[in-house]
Amino acid sequence: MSVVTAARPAIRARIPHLGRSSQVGVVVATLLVLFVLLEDQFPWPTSLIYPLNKRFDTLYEWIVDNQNSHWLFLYFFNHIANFLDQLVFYLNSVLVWLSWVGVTAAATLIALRWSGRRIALLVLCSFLSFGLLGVWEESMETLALMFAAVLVSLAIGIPAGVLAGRSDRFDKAITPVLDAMQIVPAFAYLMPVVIFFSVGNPAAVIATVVYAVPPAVRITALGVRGVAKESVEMAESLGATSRQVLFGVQLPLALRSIMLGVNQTIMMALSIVIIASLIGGGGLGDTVISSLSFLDVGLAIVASSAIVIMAIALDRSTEAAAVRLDAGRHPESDRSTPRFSPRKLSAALVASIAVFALAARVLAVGSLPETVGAGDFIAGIINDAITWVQDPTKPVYPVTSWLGDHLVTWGLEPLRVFLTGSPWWAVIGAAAVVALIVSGVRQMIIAGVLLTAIGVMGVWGTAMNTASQVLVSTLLTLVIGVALGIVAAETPRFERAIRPIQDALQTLPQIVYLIPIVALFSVGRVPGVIASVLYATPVVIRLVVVGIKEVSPAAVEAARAFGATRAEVLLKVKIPLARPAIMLGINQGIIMVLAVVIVAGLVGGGALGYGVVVGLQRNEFGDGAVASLAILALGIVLDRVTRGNVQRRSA
Amino acid sequence: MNGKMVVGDRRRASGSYGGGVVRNRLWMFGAVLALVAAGCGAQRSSSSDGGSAAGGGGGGDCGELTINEQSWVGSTANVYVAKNLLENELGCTVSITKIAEIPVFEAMADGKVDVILEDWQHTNLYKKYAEEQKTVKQAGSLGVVGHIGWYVPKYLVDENPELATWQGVAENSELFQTAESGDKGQFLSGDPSYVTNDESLISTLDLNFKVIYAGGEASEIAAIQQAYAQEEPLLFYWYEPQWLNAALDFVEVKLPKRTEGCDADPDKVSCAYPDYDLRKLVSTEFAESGSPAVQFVENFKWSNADQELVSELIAEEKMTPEDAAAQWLSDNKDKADVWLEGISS
Repeated sequence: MSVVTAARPAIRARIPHLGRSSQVGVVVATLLVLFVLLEDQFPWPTSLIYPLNKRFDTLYEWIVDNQNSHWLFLYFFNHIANFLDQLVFYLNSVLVWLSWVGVTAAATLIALRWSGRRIALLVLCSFLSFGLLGVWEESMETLALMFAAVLVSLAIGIPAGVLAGRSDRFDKAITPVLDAMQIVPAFAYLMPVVIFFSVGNPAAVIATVVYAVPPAVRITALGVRGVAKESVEMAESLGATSRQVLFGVQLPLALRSIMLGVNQTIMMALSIVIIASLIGGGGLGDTVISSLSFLDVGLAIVASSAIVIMAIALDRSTEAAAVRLDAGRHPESDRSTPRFSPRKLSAALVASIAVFALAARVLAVGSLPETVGAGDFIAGIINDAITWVQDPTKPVYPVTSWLGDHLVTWGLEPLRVFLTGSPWWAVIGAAAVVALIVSGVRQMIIAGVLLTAIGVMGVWGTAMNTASQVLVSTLLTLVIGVALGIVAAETPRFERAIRPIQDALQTLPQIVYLIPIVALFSVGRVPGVIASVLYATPVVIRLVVVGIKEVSPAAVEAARAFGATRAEVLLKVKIPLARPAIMLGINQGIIMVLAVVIVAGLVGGGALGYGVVVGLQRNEFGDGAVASLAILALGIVLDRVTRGNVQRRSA
Repeated sequence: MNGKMVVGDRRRASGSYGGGVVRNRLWMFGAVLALVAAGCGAQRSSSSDGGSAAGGGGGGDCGELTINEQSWVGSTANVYVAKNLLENELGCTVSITKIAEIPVFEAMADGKVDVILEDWQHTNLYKKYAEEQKTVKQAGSLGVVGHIGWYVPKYLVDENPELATWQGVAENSELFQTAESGDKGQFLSGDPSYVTNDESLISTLDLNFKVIYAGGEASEIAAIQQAYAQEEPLLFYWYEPQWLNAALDFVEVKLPKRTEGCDADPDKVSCAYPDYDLRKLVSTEFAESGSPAVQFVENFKWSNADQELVSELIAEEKMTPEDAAAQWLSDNKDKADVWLEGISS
């Protein structure tokens, strides 16, 4: 906090008379003037385009032609693929062998052992619900796949995170790679993954790992860095070797962060289930995709809700385990000494899981009765509800179609015309200057170079179209997210009430709820905008809540002592002090919005998202790759332009 | 200094506690490994049991095969009708994958998928995989003819008959305006994986239309159904065979007749879409396996009407694909017999 405020006078000194927001305003106004004067006179010049997509196509051809002869494939990728295939197969076999009784018992008991009674009850209900919804087998396939992906992600992510936590240079080198892994849409690398690892479980695991590794690395690194210097120095002064410091001090103390990394890795892995099914991942993703092709949205929602339930159960139990780990580390805070040693508890745990599984075999209740499925019933109800909502004679449609049309006419289209019609050099210049004002010289250079790269790749117009959609979505996300976040921070009951909704919005595959949205808002850019807002708002809400809650109680008390009302405390103390967290929320909101650009392409959003989808589905690898790189570049530009406030301390 | 000592001491104490947790966890890991070992042992024995059962009980040497189901309902209909006969008449074990249209070629080359029953002529992939790599083989025509075109709802043509031709549509572009298309008419195009010439056609024929990509079949259908519910104008890309054609009345817009080379240049297409003879493909490995299923796949051939019947049972009547296939087969025994003729089971 103090560092952030300390940085501000430096900028004021540069341009003395204007605040930062007014400076940004001047830049935008200048761009507007240039737009009015020079509309459509400076589209990106064709002479400045390098056909990168053709290069990608050549590379891709080479890979396809050499995959059966080159040593890299014969001795490297094939072995990885076989290993992953076996891993998923064995995990799945264990789940099958345990049967639903054993799996449910195992999950519940594990939660009971490490996460507490309440969470165990939640886990029990979740696993029972898979059976009840009639998607037990699919859920187990997804679970096995996800386990394998999480194991591999952690096997890569934790060592890399430890390394990044201990070495600044490695951290700097790996950060852009992690950014790319998170922002480049999975659609873009599905084909290469298939070529390298063939279809099915290995490919699905790899595609998931690419997406799930970054949080594991980042949070582990954060945890290792967070270990107090004193502890490390103390150990070193006592003569501990570097290895001893790592395993004796840094890792044990960072364990809680590492657990949180596990938690985030699981969530990421679950969010990619649908995409994995496009390359043979199977499980719940398949059910969702095929029910959508029959337009059975109800069934698709039932199958996806199994994903959401799985996510919530795993999220809560790993989170609770992390918290307990923390509590266990401070012996004086323990309420009572445990009656049994951890070892005995674990032995009892394994024994009882085995007993449950064997009992299920002996009593022959291992397979779920066919009649249990409540899924069809629920799907029917959902379908009826959707039919009602979509009915144009009912009150919903007139409102939504009016809103949608106005959002296009007064928001999306003018902004797109503005960004695509302005001279390209003016847009790049404006973005660079804004980056300079908000974030500094380095970020200005990065923003300028990357925007130029987008033009050189030949996708300037489409990228500006995407940028206009991203900006509108972000604005809506912020307005809604910050407002709800403030309310949630002030009223705990509201916060508790919206938490499951937030989880659902973050893990429910967007493609599922997009069909009703298309019916309500019509095909075009609006459904994509709505999907982005629904996906990104929960993150903004969370960050705002954390920011406001972490405002020091002393400041609040002091304000109260001076007779400030609740509203005054909120507006004049809490929100200003929570500004860094809110800024981080803006930044993260933009990144999340970009993550949904592909989905927007699937419902008529066009632009870069559509380009990526076409790349996969029409075998135009080069075009898809270029569109993905442009999304990545756009993501980094927007990130750098907005991150300034938060990251200044590293400068 | 003093404070530091205290912190350090506590941390050290907790460090050793942490060590306990780690050891304990290792032990757990061992237990899990043991369970895994038990699990795969069980799986191995059970899978070999299953194998021998299939070999002894059913149709001699058919064994296992994998068919890919694609994202449209017609494909589901093909797959489940074939699966029913392969399993019940020939004693094969059929597994189904749902891999997207392009990656599935790689899957066949790798031996992960054996059969595709309906391919909309991905000729550049045929060249790569069938002619160059020789990992995939043609297995004849499915008998279903794919037709792509521009369509409008029947209620529009009833009101204004000239909308059944492209000239009529061209003159009434303002009828199709939406917020997205601005001052042009909206042309709703479909799934990106399908063959489309619409942008090229619109520019060659100099029409005042803007192509809006629905981006997926599901969202295009949602848009079409919504237009029907309100009887609003809509001009859209559509195809046959498709179950929705039986549920809603579409009228195809007459596009300029096909002439030699009229769609040779993808940027200057000036005529209607060609008809597609939908192809069956098998992996070379499967084709040479000697399984009776190979012959069956080559024999499998039915009409647009047959396929649409099954699709409708699935999509409209909400039957499971298995039940829909079984019902069609019980009504069409004669057709099934032709496919099975001469195959020793």
